Amino acid sequence: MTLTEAPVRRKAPGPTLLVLRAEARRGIAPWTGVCTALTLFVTMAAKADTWQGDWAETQGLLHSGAMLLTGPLVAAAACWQGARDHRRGTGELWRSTARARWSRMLMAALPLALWAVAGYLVALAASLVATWPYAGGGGPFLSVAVLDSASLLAMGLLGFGVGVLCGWRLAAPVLAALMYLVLGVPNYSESPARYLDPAVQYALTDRLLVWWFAPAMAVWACGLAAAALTAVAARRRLFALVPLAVAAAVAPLIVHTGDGLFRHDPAASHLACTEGTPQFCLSGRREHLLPQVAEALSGLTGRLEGIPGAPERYVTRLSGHGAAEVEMPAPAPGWYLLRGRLQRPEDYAWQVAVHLTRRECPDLHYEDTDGVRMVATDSAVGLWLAGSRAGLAPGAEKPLELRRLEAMPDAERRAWLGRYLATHESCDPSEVPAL
Amino acid sequence: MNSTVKVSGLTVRHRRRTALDSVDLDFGPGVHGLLGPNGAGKTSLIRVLSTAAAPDAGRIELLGTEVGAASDHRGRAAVRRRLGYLPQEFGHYAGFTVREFVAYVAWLKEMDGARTAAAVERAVERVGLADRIDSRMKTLSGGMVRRVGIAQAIVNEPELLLLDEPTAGLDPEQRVEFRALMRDLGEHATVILSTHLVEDVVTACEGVTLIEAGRVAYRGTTRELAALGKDGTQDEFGGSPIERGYTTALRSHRATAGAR
Repeated sequence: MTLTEAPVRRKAPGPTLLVLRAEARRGIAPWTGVCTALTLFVTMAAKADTWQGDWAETQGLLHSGAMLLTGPLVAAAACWQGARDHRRGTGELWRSTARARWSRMLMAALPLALWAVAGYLVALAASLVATWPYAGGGGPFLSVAVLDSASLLAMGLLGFGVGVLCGWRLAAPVLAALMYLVLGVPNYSESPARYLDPAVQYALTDRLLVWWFAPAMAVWACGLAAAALTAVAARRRLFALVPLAVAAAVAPLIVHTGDGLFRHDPAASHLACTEGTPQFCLSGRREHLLPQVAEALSGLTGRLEGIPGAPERYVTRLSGHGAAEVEMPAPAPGWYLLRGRLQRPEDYAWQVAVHLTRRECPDLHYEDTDGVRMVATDSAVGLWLAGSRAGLAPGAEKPLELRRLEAMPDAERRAWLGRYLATHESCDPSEVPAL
Repeated sequence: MNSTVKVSGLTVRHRRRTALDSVDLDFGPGVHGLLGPNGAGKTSLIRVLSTAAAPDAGRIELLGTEVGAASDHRGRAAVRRRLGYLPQEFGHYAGFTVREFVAYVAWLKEMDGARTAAAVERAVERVGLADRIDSRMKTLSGGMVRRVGIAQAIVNEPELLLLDEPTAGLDPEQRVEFRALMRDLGEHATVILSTHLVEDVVTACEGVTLIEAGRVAYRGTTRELAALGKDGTQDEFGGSPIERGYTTALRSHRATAGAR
């Protein structure tokens, strides 16, 4: 006997794909994707100087734009789509058909929401590609991308549900305005409940989100949206309680964890330093900038070379090494950093000089004669160390103290600076040598 | 007669107004015309038979299944798969092509996926729009849109076809073709056609039901209705025999109802 294999009969594809394709290609669904991408492109392009070259800043601004600008936009577009049957008068015919109402609504809502997510992902990809050539350590934040995508999907479904309920033609813009408020206002709150708002800012410069936050937020946002849509579309509306219960189960976890939703980024916590003395130390994420920082501060360190009490380390985050350590500004896009290049190095050096000459004297009366003299001396030293007019107002004359410091013979000035640096932590003006 | 539609005690109210008042009707395979003046209750009857609206009272049995009970979801869904409906106000998605829209309705009717594509093309061809099948709905004329409405109603080759003013907006040639299509469909299905145009009824329908003020005023064949208008009423009403028969039947019903 010969065993013959029965031919495998492939089931013909149903019309579902055909309908899904039609819903995805027609009406406002594709335009929603295009508008989402364009809105984010314009937002990002307008502020390119403040994010290009930094992964956290890039996704921070994109997250902000995606939630506060395109979120309401997507909700409004979905609302318009949801109200389609009111406008087109198709409800009468649909009521006579066999297909479940929720199925028809999902078929109409999902392509639009997915187009919005696609628009976001295109903008995300373009932004990351724009950042990549100038970026240092770290990398893109998958959690933020997941969170943003899920939130846009949820806003699409939620907006659609509103549109089904309300056929009013102005419902879409009104919903957009309300969404903007609902998403934006919690940003001003200190309550841990603000983390339930997908539009809240995360400031991931030196920290990361815990791994479960993005999935939890996706469940929270999509659960709420699914509950709303089920309540509107399902024949048995009580089924809406299922996604609502899932969302409600996740919410306390997020709120209770609060600021614990963030963990330290090992790359950002780690200080990367140059060899030799003095050392320049930046966050591990900005290690690639060390040569530029050393170059910008070479004049300042050159002037202090060999002087007793001169700083041994210049760091962006003080580690408690005492007087031998001076804080310097962390270069960031929009703050001395433009597409991977340190901008205005003279000004940067002056900022470091200000940190170097600054005293922590909360009880000092700066209006006293001695206090005024001490401040003038500190300022003159700072200006001289910076070696430029960066600290002077345009057109302003050099102060007398600076001119005296400049006029000193080199050996005398080095001796004077040694005495000056020895009083760096003193709040007694009489101890600070006069100029 | 093997009835595919049985209605008894059917009552439909729109706020305080009674659109259908305890109507008893039955229809079998063939093409049936629903005639009556404006506001008589024709559209209310069609809407209830299409299951798009629920009656306030009465029993409705379609294709052997009772659909009136609100809880009988599965039974109603099973009937809806075998039903075609063209509402008086035919809404559509303007951005869809004819093919996409008819396929969309086929999907809503839960048609077998394997035969949907062919069924869509056949339905569109039957209404004479094969050359416009990939045109967007918004580019079609009013008459063409109405024909798409007929195509979506017949895409599933329904056993019960309900058409409310299907010839509105059609030109004379299209109306002739439409009537031929109705006769063809009526060979296997129950077609109920609500119209103001008595010519449609004469040429396409075998049976005619006249509704007036929510009640059945007359039932018979088109031939019988035309015969009512042949006897000495020509001078009084003018028009064709069927129009005179229509008027005679209507007035007779009003007189009877008034006497009651």
